Amino acid sequence: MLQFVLQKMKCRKWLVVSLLIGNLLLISIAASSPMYTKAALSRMLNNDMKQYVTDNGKYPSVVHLYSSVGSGGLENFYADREMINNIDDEFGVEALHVIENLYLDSVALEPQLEREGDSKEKEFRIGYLKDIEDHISIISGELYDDAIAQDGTVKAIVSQKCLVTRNLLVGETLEMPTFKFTNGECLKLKITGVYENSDAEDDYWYKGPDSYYRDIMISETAFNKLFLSSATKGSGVRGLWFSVMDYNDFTVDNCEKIMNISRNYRETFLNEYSHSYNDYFADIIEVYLEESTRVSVTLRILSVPLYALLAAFVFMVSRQMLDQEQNEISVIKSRGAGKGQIIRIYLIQSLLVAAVCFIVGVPLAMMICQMVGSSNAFLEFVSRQALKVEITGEVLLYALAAALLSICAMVLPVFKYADVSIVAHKRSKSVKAKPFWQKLYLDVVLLALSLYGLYSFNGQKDVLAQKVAEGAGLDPLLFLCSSLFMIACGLLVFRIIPAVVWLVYNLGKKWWNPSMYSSFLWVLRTKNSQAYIIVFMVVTIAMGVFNAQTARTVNTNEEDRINYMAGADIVIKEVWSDNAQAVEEDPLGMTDLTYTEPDYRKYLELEQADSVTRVLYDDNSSVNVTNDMGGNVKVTLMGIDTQEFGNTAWFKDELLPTHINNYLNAISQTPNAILVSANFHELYGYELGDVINYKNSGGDFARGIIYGFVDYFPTYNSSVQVEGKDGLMTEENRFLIVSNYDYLRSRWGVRPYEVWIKTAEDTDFIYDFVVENELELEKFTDAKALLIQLKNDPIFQGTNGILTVSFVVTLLICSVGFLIYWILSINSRSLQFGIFRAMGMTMKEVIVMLVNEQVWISGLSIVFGVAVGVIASKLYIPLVQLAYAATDTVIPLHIVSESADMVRLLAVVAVVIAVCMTVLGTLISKMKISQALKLGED
Amino acid sequence: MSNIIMTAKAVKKGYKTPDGDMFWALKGIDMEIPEGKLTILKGRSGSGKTTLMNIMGALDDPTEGEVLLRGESLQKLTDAEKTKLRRSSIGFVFQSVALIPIMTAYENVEYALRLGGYEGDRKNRALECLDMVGLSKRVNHMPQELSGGEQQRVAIARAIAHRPGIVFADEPTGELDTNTAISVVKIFKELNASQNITIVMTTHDTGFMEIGDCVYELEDGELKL
Repeated sequence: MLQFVLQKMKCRKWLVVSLLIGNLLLISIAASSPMYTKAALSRMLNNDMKQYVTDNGKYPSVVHLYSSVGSGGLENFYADREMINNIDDEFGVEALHVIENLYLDSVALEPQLEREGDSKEKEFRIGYLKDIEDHISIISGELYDDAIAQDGTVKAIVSQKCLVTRNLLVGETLEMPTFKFTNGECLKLKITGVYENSDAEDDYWYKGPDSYYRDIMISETAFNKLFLSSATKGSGVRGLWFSVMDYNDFTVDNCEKIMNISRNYRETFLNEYSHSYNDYFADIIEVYLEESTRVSVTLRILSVPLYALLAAFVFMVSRQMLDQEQNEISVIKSRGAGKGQIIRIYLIQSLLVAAVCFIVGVPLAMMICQMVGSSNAFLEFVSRQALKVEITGEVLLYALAAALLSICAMVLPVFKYADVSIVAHKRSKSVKAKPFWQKLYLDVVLLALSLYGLYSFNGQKDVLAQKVAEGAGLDPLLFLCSSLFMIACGLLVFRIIPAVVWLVYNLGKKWWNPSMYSSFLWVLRTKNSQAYIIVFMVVTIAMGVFNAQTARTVNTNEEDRINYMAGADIVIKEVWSDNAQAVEEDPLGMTDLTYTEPDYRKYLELEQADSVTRVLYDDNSSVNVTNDMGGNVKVTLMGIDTQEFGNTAWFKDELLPTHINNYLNAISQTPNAILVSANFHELYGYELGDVINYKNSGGDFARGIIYGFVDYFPTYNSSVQVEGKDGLMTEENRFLIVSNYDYLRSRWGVRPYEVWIKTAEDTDFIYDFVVENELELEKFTDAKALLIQLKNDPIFQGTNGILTVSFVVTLLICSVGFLIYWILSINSRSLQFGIFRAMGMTMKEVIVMLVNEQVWISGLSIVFGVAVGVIASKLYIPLVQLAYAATDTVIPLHIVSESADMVRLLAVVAVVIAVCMTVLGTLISKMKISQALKLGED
Repeated sequence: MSNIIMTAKAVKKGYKTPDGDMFWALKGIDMEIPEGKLTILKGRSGSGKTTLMNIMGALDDPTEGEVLLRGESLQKLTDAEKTKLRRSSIGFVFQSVALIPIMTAYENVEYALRLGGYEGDRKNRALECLDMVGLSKRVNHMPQELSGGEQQRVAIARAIAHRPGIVFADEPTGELDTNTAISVVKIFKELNASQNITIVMTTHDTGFMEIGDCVYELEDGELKL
């Protein structure tokens, strides 16, 4: 049997190759989904941790425990010590260090050296840091030893900061009068050395040596003998532990477990005085866990339509193969083979194909993951640190499920074909029934369903946004709806195309030459055979367009939002020095607050800056609204240099009815002219020409005449979601006044302003600039850095990657499907061509005939495919996009279609059609008429 | 004796066998086809009838020798010229019915007229031809709705519609019952008489020998005298 199947597969090698392609893509894409999600999530977690290190200079993967020997006695104390020492095992990671610091707090020590003006008694902590010897270098003097001398002297070391701030000297001795040995001597601590950390990067120094500025360190052995002996029972001893773990060990798999353990301890230690527990990763993991659901749900849903498409492709190829083998099947059947036997033949074939694809598909999935991981934008790749992809059980499960799906897709059509005997087959030849979906009006039903989905989702847009804000991912049903819509349209197009062809055929009936005439007839009379290819092409192309537009829209809108909210490429605000202290100290209150303006010229001299402007930005200004709803309204005041502002600020022309420069010009001529946000008009009834009195955060007044209303202005957001006390989000209006900077300056004197910079290229120079000029910054925004951050965001990156892969795969299977369909269809029509040729049709006329068929079937499918894709984008992207930027829909969504994508898509299709036509042309021109006629006799 | 419309001169057709030898399907045929008559090419299957007919019908080229149509060698024509020739002056009725499956009986005939660039009223001519073969009642049926004999008659109607000088019919009666076969041959005879169309038909049916004006017998690629 196997031999037979292999032989059969060899005969249909091109179809088998197509099946392999379909299967391979299906399996590898299914496998890559959990693989990528996991890798992206672990990169995300890792980046979050890294970010913490960058921001805080500390590892986040640290557990911090404090304990003291209290009423629970030493036993409890030791239990805590045991717990922290083993917490890494409990977490399932390995601790790099457990830093143990036992000490006696607030010990009064008397320096033996007399000093002037120094109080005699000083408070210290006496303690030890376990293993400190390995992490320090002694910069003066020598290290302690374990000995306790007869006279009660113990050697000790201190940090440099302790030495300086406590005014100690190396070699001096401090006495502890409260601690007396049995021989009557009291404990004496001799400072023998000063230490510093031997390696600046050493993570042992979770708290740097400087933070031990009250600590006198003695050896662990000495400490134990002195304070933890049976005599003292550890009274007053406190312990501080840091278990520093490698944050790279915190992975997607164990972080939830770690989180639970951490939560447990937090609860256990809550409200305890003698000991406390703290860790620094809980917040990070919590945020991560919340985000991870959104990421994984969104990323997985995005690839679902692709599975469907690939399964459909496999199904279609399998049907083609069965069509080709119909004769053999009926012959085998008439020779007495049962239905079961025929099904078994195809089952074996499917298993073989699926098995091969499973073996190759899983490694291929890893490559796809890397491709997705290196995507920067739609169809754009950069080299990034490779993802850590691994083959997990989940990955294999997905691959297996995909393999089963494709086996089903391959075997399912066999059931129908296995029923047909030779007689029925001959009879049914060349009469194709209407496809089932048309009989059932499935296209209409699906379309209605998808539109209903759209309608109901549109109705609950707010709820959707809310859900996303709370961390939910893309709604699966919503995304499914868009695919359903495209499929329904694809099915519907199959009703439309023949109608269009019929119309064209009838309109020009008189003029068609023989080849046109016969091709029209062919398209019209064999339309049911074209059903699958038409639907398939429409759906694949529509999905390609939809994917491209989704990716572009999501990217562009988010980039626009970042640019808009930032205002300009770089926004910088230095810390200004002022005379606040003098004002405060002036008992008469006569002194006015004045600021010292930092040198502004240095910005103007920046070579890398295209333009620079000053913006007085005060979001704590207010307006006393004069109407009955009024009162004091908080506004954001922007004082701008109109011309430079127009050159520097980032703004999209479509946001305002005319170019923003027209607004800026309007106020530039009159010093006290202002632009205000449109809600002043909508909510408070202000009109053009009205006067507004406004007050800055310092309480100074100014008057402005309204010269224009704006809905949008750089950085301005008309309403924000604010979380109320009850935890519900409510919308809050924001107001804006834009005024001339010079006018404000003349009224109020110089006040701290921001410097907005538009850069020629990248923004790297600004970091050097800040360091060189030793600037102290109050505010700093680098929009380009934010954009890069966006592109590294797993959800954006994953979306871009998956949509890119979808786009490429869609085009690929569209091409393969198209090629095999036509080549097979030509082969099966060779008799017909033979007749035409024998009847005296020239080669050229045959080609014209084929081209004409292509124009109406493929050409119209492409046109409709693009149209369906564009319509689907218009309808569904606004909803899909919610999953990405629901919280801040600052500027209106704009569906972006990049013509380059369309060009790419159409170019690929054009190449495919050209290849197809060449292949067909060669096939036909090679065809011997006499041969064709003979072959066709069957 | 009437004019000779077609002459075959030492026509040989060979195929390369997989071993590299030549297999000669036709081993040098010399024959003459009289104009306006029914010529019968007889022989068992595999004797080379179809090959010879394809060569005479300008569908295929001989390996050696030539075929003259009204004194002009077919082998001197280009492929395009041969196509044009087929379109205007030659009609075919194939062994197995070879109607265009997507066209009705009427359209099949009418299509031949379109291709042949028929000047007159195509509709009338098509119906006239279908009437000639006795199918005027089934003009709007699709080929698969017709019986084998009916299909064959449509094929004949199609072959003669554009008034070709010569019609080649390869086993036109092969799959027909005796009565239908006789009626088909009768049609040929009528066409000879009424339209002065030359008809060359092959058959392995010995029953039709006496009907033919001129009978050749082929055996193993050679004419049997």
